[in-house]
Amino acid sequence: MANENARPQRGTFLTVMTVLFVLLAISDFAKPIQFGHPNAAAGIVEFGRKFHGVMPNLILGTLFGILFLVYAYGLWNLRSWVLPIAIGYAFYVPYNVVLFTYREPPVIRSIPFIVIWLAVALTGSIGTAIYVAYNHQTLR
Amino acid sequence: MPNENSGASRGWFLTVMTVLFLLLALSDFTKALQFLGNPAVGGIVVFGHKFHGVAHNLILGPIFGIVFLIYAYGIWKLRAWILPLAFVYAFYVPYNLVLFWYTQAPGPRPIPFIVVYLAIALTGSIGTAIYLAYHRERLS
Repeated sequence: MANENARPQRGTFLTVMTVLFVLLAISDFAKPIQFGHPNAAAGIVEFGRKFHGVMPNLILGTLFGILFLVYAYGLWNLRSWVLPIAIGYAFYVPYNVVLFTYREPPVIRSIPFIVIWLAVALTGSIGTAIYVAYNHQTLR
Repeated sequence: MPNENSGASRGWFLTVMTVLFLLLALSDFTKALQFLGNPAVGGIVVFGHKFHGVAHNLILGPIFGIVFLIYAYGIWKLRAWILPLAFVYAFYVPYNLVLFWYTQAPGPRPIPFIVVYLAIALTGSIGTAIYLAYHRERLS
């Protein structure tokens, strides 16, 4: 009964975000493989720095992949412990993106691409945190 | 009595944020003067674009200054209508920072300065939005 009740409360937004976080986890788990076919965009970016080499990508990709799976599980099951993760991630993503943009010579992308990419990244991080905080009474 | 209660329920975080938004409004109202004082550094940054020239700063500065005054007033009075403003501002600040630094050459600022600057900017934008969303029942 509890599981049946949880789904209607979760809503479309959190369901979509859960799916995106699972995809993000898969992407992070696959970072070393992506790095095996290096191009300008390959390598995981954490704390504003792009990591090159299979080993850093294997370690960090796995760590962040597990974190995203935990986050996705918490969102799916509307657990109250996701709130600190959501808040931390809401700050982490802008930090990561701004520091990366500041430190690294930019890969040439068009401004519309950056705007759309940011819309997805910030909705997933800031949007989810605001949504979870706003609806924190539905968490358990 | 309502004013006494609102003072108590606002808490130190929103009180500090109100003061910071007032200072931000003051800074924006004086953008034209700042630009005159140091044209190389001065100039308001909107949607990642730094506006040069006194006329631009004279127009955009007061517009953003008024928005910040309204935001500060809403936070101080714990009004419910600040929620949409807080949510938009939470997205706007990272957008503004990323787009600005994307179009700029790596600056002379050290990374620790950027980290501290981001801590203040993101706490004021994202932190305030999450705080207000979590405590929305206090708003009227």
